Amino acid sequence: MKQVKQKTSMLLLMMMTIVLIVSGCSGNNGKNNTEPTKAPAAATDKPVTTEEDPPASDLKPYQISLVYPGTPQADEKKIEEALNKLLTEKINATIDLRPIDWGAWDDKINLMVASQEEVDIVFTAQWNGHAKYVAKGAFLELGDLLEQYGKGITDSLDPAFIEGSKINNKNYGIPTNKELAAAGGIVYRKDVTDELGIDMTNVKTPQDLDAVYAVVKEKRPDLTPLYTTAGAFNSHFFANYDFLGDSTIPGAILKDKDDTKVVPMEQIDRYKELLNITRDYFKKGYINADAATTQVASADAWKAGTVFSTLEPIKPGKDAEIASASGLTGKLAQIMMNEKTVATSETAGSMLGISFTSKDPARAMMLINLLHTDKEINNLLNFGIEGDHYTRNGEIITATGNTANYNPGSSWMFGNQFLNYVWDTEDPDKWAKFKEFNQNGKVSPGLGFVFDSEPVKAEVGALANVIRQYQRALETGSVDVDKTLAEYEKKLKDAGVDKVVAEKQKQFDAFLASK
Amino acid sequence: MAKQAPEAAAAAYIPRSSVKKMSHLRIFRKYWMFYVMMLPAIVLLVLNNYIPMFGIIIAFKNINYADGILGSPWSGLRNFEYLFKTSDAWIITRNTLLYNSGFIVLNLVFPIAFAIMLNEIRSRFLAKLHQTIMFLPYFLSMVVISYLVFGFMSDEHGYLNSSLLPSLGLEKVQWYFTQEVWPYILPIVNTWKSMGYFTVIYMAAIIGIDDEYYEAATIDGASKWKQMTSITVPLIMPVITIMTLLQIGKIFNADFGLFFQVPRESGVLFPVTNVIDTYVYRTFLTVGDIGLSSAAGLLQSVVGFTLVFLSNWVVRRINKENALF
Repeated sequence: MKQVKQKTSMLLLMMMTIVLIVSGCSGNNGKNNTEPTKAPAAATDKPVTTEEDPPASDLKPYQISLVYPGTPQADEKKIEEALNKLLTEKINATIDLRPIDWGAWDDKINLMVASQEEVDIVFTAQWNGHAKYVAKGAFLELGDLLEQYGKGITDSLDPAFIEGSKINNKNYGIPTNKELAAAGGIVYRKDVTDELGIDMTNVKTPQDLDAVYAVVKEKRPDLTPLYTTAGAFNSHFFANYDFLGDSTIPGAILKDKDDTKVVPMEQIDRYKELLNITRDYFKKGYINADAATTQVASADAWKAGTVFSTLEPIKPGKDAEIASASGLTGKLAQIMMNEKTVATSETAGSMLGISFTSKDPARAMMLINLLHTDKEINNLLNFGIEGDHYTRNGEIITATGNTANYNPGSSWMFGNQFLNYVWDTEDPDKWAKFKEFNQNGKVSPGLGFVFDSEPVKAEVGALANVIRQYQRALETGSVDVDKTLAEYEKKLKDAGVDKVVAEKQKQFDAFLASK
Repeated sequence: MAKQAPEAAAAAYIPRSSVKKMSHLRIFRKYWMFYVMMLPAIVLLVLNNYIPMFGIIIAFKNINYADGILGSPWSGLRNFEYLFKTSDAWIITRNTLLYNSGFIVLNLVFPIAFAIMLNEIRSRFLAKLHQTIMFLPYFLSMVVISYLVFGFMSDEHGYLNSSLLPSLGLEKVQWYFTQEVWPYILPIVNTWKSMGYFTVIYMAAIIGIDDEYYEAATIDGASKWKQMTSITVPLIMPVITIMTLLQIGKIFNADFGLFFQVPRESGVLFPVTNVIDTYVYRTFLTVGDIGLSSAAGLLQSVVGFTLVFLSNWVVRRINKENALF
C-alpha cells in the first residue's frame, strides 16, 4: 500500500481516538434513557419484611411502592420502617416510598410508564397529564376496587370529588380530600402596604390594583409591583377559564357562567380585556420586564425578597403557605378577586392512581383507603415520627431540630388532608376554614368532563408550537396586543384550532346529554 | 515516504483488486485475528444501534402502554401528519437546513484557519495554551452556555444592556425579543463552542504532513500562502471531506441544546430559532405521545441517511479516494 492511503487511515485513527476521548469526557448524555430501568430491578429484589407478627388476615405479604413527586428525604428509611410496622398489622403489607424530584418528574414518569416498570401507587393529576396517561392505558380503572376496599374513602370524601375526577364515567384515580373550590387573587406584602399607608380593602378587581402599584413603584423601587412568569391576569385560575381537561389544548368555557359553548380562549371578551390591562401595567413598569423569558419561578422570586405581589390560586392560608416557604412569615396577606368555582381542575387536581403494572391492585387500594382514614398512618407519612421530626400538642405540631430530615411537604397528595396536623406557624383553624371554603362554590358546567384529544392528535401537536410561540409573550404584556393577537389568532386557525374546538364541543355535548 | 500523491492514489488499486480475487474463506483464514478483534465492536454496534431499530414501528402505531408496543393498533402515517400541518413545517425545515449548512461552513473555515495558524506558532507552549483554551467551551453544557449568553444579553442586568450600550450612548436592546440578531448570535455561539474540537482534528491532520513538502516549496520560493493553498489544504482534503460528510449526515438533526436552551424559550424568537428537534420536543411536552416523536425521529434519520449517500456519491464522482465508502 502506498503512503497517502496509509496516512489517511492514520489520520482517521487519530480522529477516532480523539472522538473517543472527547465522548468519554463529555459524560454519557445518551445513556441516561436506559438508566431508570435499572432502579426497579433493585427495588423489587428487596426482601419483603415479614419479621412482624403474622396478622389475623390471610393476606400474603406484599410490598407496595408509592411513586410521587418530591425531594427525597434523608430519614425516608426510618419512616418506611415505622410505616411497615403499622401496615403489616393492618394489611400485611410493607411500603417502598419512591419520591422523584419535581424537576425530573415529568420525564421519569413518562419513561416509567413507557418502560412498563412495576409500581403500584402513582401520583397523578389533571394538570399533570392524567387524561393522557389514561388514554394510553397507564392506570387501572378503579370502580370495583373502590367499592370493595375503599369504603373509608367513599364515606369521607365529598361525592363531587369522585364525580369530578371521572374520565368517560370511570375513575382512574382517587382524589385527595382537600380544597374543592378554587379562586384566584393576589398575595401581597402587607408590611409594605402598612408602611406606605395603602388601603387594600377596596381592591376587588385587576383595575383597582393600578393605584396601588403606582404608589409601590414610586416609593419602593426595589420591589417589582407584580411578578409574573406566564399568564398574568389571564391565568386560568384568575380569569376562570375551564379548558375541560388539559389546559394546553385550546377551547374553553367560563367556569363562572353557564354557557356551554366551547370557544378558543382568544375569542372570549374577557381575554382581550385582561390582556389590555396587563399590557398597560407592563408598559407602566409594574410587571417584571423579563416576564416572558425568565426561568425564576415566583416562589424563588418571593425568596429573593424583591416582589410586592403575585397572582395566585387562592385557598385559605395560601398567604401563610408562601410566607413560610420564603421566610416572610407574618408579612403577607391575600385578596380573593374572582368568583369561587368548582371544576375538574380541582376535583382531579391531586390523585393517587394504581399503575397497570401493579401485581396486587387490591392491596394498593387498601393502602389508599388507609391514607384516607387512618390518622396515624397519614400523619406519619406526611410529617414523620412524633418526638423525632416534630413535637405535638393536640392537633398543633412544632418543628424540631430534626424536622429538616423528613418534611416532604406533600400532604396535599396523600389521602385526606383534613386528618393532617397543623404546624404552629399556620392558622389553627385551617381545616375548619377549608371546610367553609369548600361550600357554595359556583359549579362549572364542565365539572367531571375531560377532553380526549386522540381524534385531533395531529392538530394538537401542531398547535402546541403556535401556542408556545405567542402565548407567554402576549399574556405577560410583553408585546403589543392588537398586532400580536391578530397574528396569533391567524396562526391558530392555520394550525387547525377550529377542528380541535369543534371536537371538544362534540364530546362536551355528548357528556352534557348523558348527565 | 511518498513522493507523489497522484501516483500513490493510482497504485492503491493494485493490492485492493488482488484481495478481491481471494475467496472469502481464504481471507477469513488469513486475517481471522482481525475479525476477532472486530467482534466486540460489532456486538456493541448491534446492541446499541441495530436492536433498538425495532422501535421504528412505534412511529406507525397508536401506542397504548397497557397493550405494549406490539399489541397497540397500527395508525398508518397519522403520526407524521402534524409535522406538515402548519406553515411551521416549512419554517423549521428551513431553519434546520440553513443553520446546519452555515455551521458546516463555519466549522470548516475557522477551525482550518486556526489549525494552520496554531501550527505556525513557534512556541510549543503558547500553541498548546491556545489550543486548550479554545477547546474548553466544547466541554461546557448548553445549559451553562445559555446562562453565559444570558449574562451578556439579559434585559436589565446583561453586560450589553447595562454596561456596553449605555457607555456607547446607544439605546438598550431587548435581545430576547429581537428576531433579527439571532441568526448571527446562534452561529457565533456554535462556532465558539465547537471550534476547538474541530481545530484539534485538523491540526492532527496537518502535523501528519511530511516536512519535505514544505522544505521543497521553500527552496522553490513559495510564499506561506502558496504553501497553504497548494500543500496543506490539498493534503488534508481527505479529513476535510470525511468531517463534512459526517456533518451532512446530521444536517437534519439540529443541536437541541443550542436551539432550545440559548434562546430561553422566547416565543417571539421562534420564527428564527425553532428547528425540527425543538419543534418535536415542544410537541412531545404537550401531547406526551412517543409515536409522534418517533415519527419525527424516523423522518430525520431517513433524510439524513439519504443525504449521506447522496453526498458520498457526489464525492465519489469527483475523487474516488476521498469518499467514505
